[in-house]
This record gives sequence, C-alpha cells and structure tokens, in this order.
Amino acid sequence: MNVDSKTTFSMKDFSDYTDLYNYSDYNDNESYGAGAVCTQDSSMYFDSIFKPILYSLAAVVGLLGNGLVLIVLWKKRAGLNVTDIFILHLSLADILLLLTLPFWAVEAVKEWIFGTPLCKLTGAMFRINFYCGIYMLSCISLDRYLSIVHAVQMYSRKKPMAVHCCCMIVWFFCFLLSIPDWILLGANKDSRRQDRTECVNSEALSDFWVLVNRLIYHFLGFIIPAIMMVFCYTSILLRLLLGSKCMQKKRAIHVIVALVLAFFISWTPYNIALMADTIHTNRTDNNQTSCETRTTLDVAITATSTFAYMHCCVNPILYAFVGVKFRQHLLDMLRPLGFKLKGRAGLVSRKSSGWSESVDTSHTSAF
Amino acid sequence: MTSKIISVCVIVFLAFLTIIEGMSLRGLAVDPRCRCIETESRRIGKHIKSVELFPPSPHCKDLEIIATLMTTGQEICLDPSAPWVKKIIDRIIVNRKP
Repeated sequence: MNVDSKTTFSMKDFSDYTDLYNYSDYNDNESYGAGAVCTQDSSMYFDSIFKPILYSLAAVVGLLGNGLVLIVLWKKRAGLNVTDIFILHLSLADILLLLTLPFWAVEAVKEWIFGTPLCKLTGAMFRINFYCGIYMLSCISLDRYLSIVHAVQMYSRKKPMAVHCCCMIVWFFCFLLSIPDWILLGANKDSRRQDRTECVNSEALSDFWVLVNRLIYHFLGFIIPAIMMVFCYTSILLRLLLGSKCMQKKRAIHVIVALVLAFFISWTPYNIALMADTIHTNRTDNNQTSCETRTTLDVAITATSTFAYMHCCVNPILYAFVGVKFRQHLLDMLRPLGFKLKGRAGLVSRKSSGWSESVDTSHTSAF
Repeated sequence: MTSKIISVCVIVFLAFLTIIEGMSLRGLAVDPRCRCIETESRRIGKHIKSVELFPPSPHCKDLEIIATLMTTGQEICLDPSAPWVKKIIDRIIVNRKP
C-alpha cells in the first residue's frame, strides 16, 4: 500500500461503489466493540504543562549549583586532586545536559521550531551528557573505593593529566553512544500527534529494535552504574565501620548513604516505568490493553524521566558542597566580595588515628 | 591471573554493549505509540462517514485506517488486511492521482 501522508476522504466519494457502500455486517443499533482509537491528546497536554515548569526549575537550580562548582574548582585548578577532577567533569556534563532542557520544554509546549541541525545537536548533547554524568559518578565511587579500601593510588597528585585522560575516555565512550542521534534525528511532523513537528527519528523503530534499545539502556544506563556504586560504597562503609567511631566517620557514613539513596531515588522509578511500558507494548493479549493504560504509562514516563534529571541538580550538593575543603575554598572566594566569615567554619577537629589513616591514603574532597 | 581474565572479559563485554547501543536507535525519548490498539475487520461500509489514512511515522511503524461513523461520530480503527478495507484504500489512492 503506497500511502505516504495522512489522507482524509468522505464516503460520498464512494457513492458509485455500491457493493462497499450498502453492505453491512451490522444493523444500525448494534454497537462496535472492536477498533477503539487511542488519542494521545491527554498525555501531550500533560507534557505541555509539566515539562516547562519542571525543566525550567531544573535548569535554573542545576546551572547555579554546577556553575558554582566549576568556578570554585577553576580557581583552585593548580591543586586539584583526583576526585576534584572527576567532579569537574561531572559538573560540566550536568551543565551541558541542563542546557538542552529548555529546548525540550519548548517542544512540549509548542513544537520543535529550531530546525533539524539544532535537533541533531541537542539530541546528541543530551545523550552524551546523560550517560557521561552517570559514568562520572561511577568513576568517583571507584576512585574512593580504591583509595580507602585498598589504599591504591590510581593517580598521583603530580599527574592530573592521567585523570583527565580517563575522563576523556569516558567522554569518547559516551560520544560513540550518540552517533545514531547525529545520523537519524530530525525535525519530523507526525500526523498522529496533532500534526506537530518533533525532534525524533525519521522512522519508527521495529518492535525488535525498541526492545533491544530499552534493554541496552537499562543495562548501560542504570544496572552497571548501580552495581558499581553499591559495591564500592558498601565496601567503603564496611571499612569505615571497623575501628573506633568518631564524628568524622559518622558524617562520612551519612554522606555515602545519601549518595547511594539519591542515585536510586532518582533513577529507579524511571527504569520501572520504562520496564512497565516495554512489557505493556509487547503484550499480545489485546483484551488486557486500554487507552487509559497507555495514557497512564505516557504520563508516568514523563514524570519519572523529569524526576531523574533532577539528579543533575543535587549532584553539586552531594559531591562538592559536602566537602569541608570545598567549602573553605568557596568561602575564600566569597570573602573578597564582602562576606564575613562567621564563627570558625574552617576549623577542623583533631583526627583520630583511624581517621588519619584514611585521610592519608585518600585524596577525596568530600569526606 | 584469574582477575586479569575477568577484567578482560568485562571490558570486552562492555565494548560489545557499546557497539550494540551505538547500532540501535534513540531510546531516551521516542516511544512507539500507534493510535489503534485493535481493529475492526467486519464490513461496516454503510455506516462510515469518512476515512483517514495515517502512514507510518516516527511514533508508529504501521499504516492505520481510522473511520468516522455517521450516526455517532465515533472513530473506529479498520483492519488494513481486510479485503473490503483494501478496496477502500485502493479507491482512495486512485482518487488522489491527478
């Protein structure tokens, strides 16, 4: 069937087709049970309200937090340690991802008005930094694990270039993942979605590729980072729980628990929503499906994905601002601007022998 | 020695996943969303007011045929593989030619 665009015809055009026009398997009073049409209007309406508000909030808060991190780390760039470098790249990735959110917000409210080249750039930038942010978190957890549990110096203070190279490898890895976006994304009009132009692939995926793509995302984007973080931070916690307790250790434990919880609270709902949608889409029992279920899943995916992007906003707090050294640098930077140092914010209590051992072998700035 | 083998296997596995992901298409935003969950294949030509054809598009890989009924204005999906529906499609395509 050679049909390349939406076509509408009145049945009056078929008045000469008496066989088709006059015959009916139904009488006039019989209801039609099959062939229900699902509209996407309600989920699109939800997108047009929800996305602009949340995306704007995320962009403002996230850009402020991550921007501040970049400024502070730039000021102390001569003395950056390993974790500082990872945090620097993490903040950069978060900023670049957050910069794409306004474009998606405009698309949700109106349509994609920025043209195909910007569509490719925005989509690819989103994906690169989406994965890059997650993998930088994994690198930070791995660095802390090696430093604290195994007392292994992956990199020396004197070789920050080695850490930057490691980050470049991560960026390159993520760039590879975005190549399909550069090739396939475009501004395409879809007659099923109120004739809006959207920044999407030119053609729909086959069911097989949708499934493969979803599974790969779950694995690369969630399961692997989650396993790495749980393993590394659990090992660190076990190490910290050994030996004498002190305020420094308790604080470190709280920070670690907060990091892991933040990751899972952000990403688990989204992955669950995607899994539910995948299962629902592939279900062959049509009697079980309904338009309401479809709409609910659409709304759930929008809500949970937006919630996941909020993780970019809390990263500065969890990974940078909790660090005593980082706050000292921040205060040092703010003092010339007229802020007065209150109390003894910079004072560090005497360290126990157990804690000193961890500090001596660790270059992390968050503990 | 064992740990080295495990490390190499993990790296190869990750590289393999990367290639597959690179080969697959974008999955972060676009979800398949056809409008027709089920279709009507019994002949209801007499009750149809108008017919719309939706070609494959970014959100749906299928051709969809949606009929509007005369009496109720209800929309209903027709089965593209039903013989009588194919006749309608053929007639529409013919009528579109200049």
